Amino acid sequence: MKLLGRDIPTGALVARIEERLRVRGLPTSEPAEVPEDGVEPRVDPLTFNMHALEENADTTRALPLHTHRAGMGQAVLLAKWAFRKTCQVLINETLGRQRVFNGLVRDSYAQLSAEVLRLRKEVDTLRAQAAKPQPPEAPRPPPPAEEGEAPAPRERPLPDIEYGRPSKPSRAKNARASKPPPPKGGPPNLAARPKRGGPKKN
Amino acid sequence: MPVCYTRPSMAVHQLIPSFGPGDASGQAALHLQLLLRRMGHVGDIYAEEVAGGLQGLARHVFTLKPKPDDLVLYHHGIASPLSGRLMHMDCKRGVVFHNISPARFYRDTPLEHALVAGRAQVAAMAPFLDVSIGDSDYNSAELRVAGHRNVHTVQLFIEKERFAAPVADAAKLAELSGPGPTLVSVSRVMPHKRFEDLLALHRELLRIRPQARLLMVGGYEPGSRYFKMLQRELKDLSGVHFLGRLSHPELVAVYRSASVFVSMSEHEGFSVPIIEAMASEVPVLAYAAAAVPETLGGAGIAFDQKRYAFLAELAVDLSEDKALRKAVLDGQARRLQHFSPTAAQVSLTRALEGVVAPPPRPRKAPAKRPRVALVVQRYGEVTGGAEAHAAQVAEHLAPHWDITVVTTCAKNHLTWENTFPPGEDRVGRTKVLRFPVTRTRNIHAFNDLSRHVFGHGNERLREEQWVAEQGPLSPGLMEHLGTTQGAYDGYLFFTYLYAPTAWGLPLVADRAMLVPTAHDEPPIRFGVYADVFNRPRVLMCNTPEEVAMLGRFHPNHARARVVGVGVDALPAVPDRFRAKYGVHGRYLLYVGRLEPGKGVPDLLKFHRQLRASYQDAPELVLAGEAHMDVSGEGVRHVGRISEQDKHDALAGALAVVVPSKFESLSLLTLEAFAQGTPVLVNGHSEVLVGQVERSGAGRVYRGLASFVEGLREVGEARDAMGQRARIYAQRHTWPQVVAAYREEMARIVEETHR
Repeated sequence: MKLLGRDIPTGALVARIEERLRVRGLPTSEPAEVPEDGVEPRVDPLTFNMHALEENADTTRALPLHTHRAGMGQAVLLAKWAFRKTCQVLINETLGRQRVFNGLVRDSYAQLSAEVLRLRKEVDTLRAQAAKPQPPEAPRPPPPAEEGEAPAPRERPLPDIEYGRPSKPSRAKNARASKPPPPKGGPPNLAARPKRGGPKKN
Repeated sequence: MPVCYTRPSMAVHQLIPSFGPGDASGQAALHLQLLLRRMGHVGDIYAEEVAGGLQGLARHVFTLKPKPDDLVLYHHGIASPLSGRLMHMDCKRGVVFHNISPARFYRDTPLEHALVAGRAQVAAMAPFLDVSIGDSDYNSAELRVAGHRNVHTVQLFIEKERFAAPVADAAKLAELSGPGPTLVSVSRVMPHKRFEDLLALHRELLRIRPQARLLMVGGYEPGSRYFKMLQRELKDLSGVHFLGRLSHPELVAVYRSASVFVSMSEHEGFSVPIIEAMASEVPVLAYAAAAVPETLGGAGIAFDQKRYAFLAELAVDLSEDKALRKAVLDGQARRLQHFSPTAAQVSLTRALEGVVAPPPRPRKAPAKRPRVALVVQRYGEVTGGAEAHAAQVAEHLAPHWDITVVTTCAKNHLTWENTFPPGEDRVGRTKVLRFPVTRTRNIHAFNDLSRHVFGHGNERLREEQWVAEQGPLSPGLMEHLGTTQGAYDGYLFFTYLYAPTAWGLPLVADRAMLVPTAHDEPPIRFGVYADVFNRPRVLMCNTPEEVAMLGRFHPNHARARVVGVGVDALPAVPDRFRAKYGVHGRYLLYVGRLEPGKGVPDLLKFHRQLRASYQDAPELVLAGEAHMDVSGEGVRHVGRISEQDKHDALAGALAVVVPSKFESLSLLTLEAFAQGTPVLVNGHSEVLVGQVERSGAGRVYRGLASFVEGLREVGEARDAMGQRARIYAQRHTWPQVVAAYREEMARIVEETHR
């Protein structure tokens, strides 16, 4: 048992109380759970939303029965249960198209989120390469990657991309590796542009 | 229209899922708004759901239209669609994170999904934010783990005077008095708060102190499995009380009844009740979960294991060992300084550096005539003492200052309906800028609210609600004050009571003068007016009594100076008034609004009794608009009269009667003195008593006997008193008043440009 307090004689106080417990015939050391350290972990929004869409795409499935009210709350739960039991066929018929629509939303989201993950990975790779020291002579860049393939590694420094913020198409084009480097002195340093004060506006 | 706007400052708006009483996020938003105003940033609170009666404080989220340079701070907790809305706003964006309870405490409940979704939203927002604020280092750490950059901790603050002993509800205190020790816990009844552990502690405490009590404050859901489980637990326990949600004075009473505040919660992102307990001078005993040790900061006592027998002994020591208790309370008092508004403002200023620009200052070279904004709730053809006062001051200072009157379109002070057209106007020599009022006032609802909040302590929310309902609410006026701070060298606010002053003055306090026109009335005790009285550069008061009264209610008020107004006495011919209105004998005179609030019913009663007892009792002449029945034997109501008629009437009266209890100056008294007429005044007004004592030109009454006696004395010594009255009135001249205003504004201008 540990007491935290700047203004109290913690050691003496613990000893005094332990002594009183001993006199009362109570155990002076009980096993106890110690609180977990650290903060709560990050929940990845793309993954979470994907799972949540999968979980809830089928609108014909009932939500778990729950009430925070006493009395009438229980009666309402019973009514909901009875409605489900007797009218499921009607529910399926009514919400059939909604289920199809939700499935399409789920699949679209899955595709888009996979694309975001792929782009993030590419950005990470580019940033890692940009952090490396520039070689004395930059080799010719490889041909552009096919759609769906991971981008080829680059060896010249690349601009610092604001992670997670969509960039304008023209800038994205400028940053592509397919553009050959200038003949001397390396490519222009886009990172040296004045930074924008806020996030990109859509 | 003021010219030469410098770059407009940006607004800082706040976005919150719901805004209502008893909500910690709502309170945090109000507190942030207070700090932002002190920093010169105007901005409103927007919410998806606004509780009834609070529409004056928070607007619906659909009306939020930020400008590109504005900052929107979103208060995030449990999952809300507002996080997605924020990411798509075309402005600067920030989040204030109040933490989310871990979902592990809510497995297989509807809440589980919302908790995890809330955490997913925290991570989703990260790349789209300019600033992220946690209200504890613990919450800031969670933001960093979720991918946020530019993360700052801005601690919540507490107004400890709102938890002082006098604020406690007396009835609740009496109800809760009894044997101890009394443990108190304050929080919503939720599984992660571990109320079952509180019951276990109480069970142990009962073994050594059979009369111990456990008071639990907070909302609960009677039908929830958790609450039912608690009810089963406490069946064989004595002294346990679920008090539910309480009003603020009742909450303070509970804290003030406690021996020890206990928290068994297994997750806290900050824990407001801990600092409330500290402010209420209750020792804190808390399980060291999550941000609890950080909030305690070494004060109170935190423990790392729930050994109930041990904790029961410790609770007894904290209750009964005076030396231990004092040491803990002293430490908590020191810790509270970290949660003061001043300390929180330092943190907020640091957090917003580089995100919002500081408000613009006036150009360096001071103008020949200082550019002054005179802010008043109404202006022009309106009736009202303070407004008339403002108009007189504006007209007399117009040759010396470049004055712009900043006011509303309202004419009627009861409804605030827009009557004047918005935009530029000119009244006499003065430029006027009018802004529309967005809410009219329902005076009956307002009076109900007044009855609810007057006479006892309140949380800030209720007082702010009262100010909002008092009005007039004019977002355009506020925006003008917030965004044109470079266009004015100084500000002159009139009347402390109304929203344009209460919310506008803090924006520009370091260049502001206030004419409070205050008297002893319930709202002057409100803590929301502290900034109005404490932060301007100078208070231009009407009387020494007003200064003394401000000292009683706001002891830290700004430097005060008695200035008053000048009195213009028109040449008067008493017989002209007598002839015009058919008044022949001796008469007492009252001029003003004829309504109960002005003390007219008592005046009529005394006059009736006077007439019944004395055959030579004078007539009573009443001039002004009547809002009540003023008929009676020997009573002459002459309606509204011209300025010339008024001065003729004043000059010919035996005495002028001032029956109102609420006066901050009484122009009528000064005008009577200027005509050499003594006064008979209500002795319940300190201001009126002071005027009579200083002048020696009248008498004071507090009942019928003193009314009769005072009248007799005035009648006997009218000439001598009249002479003294004239001498006293000569001290109140416009050149002196104008000189005082100019001197104060020159000081502000000089210090601003230094």
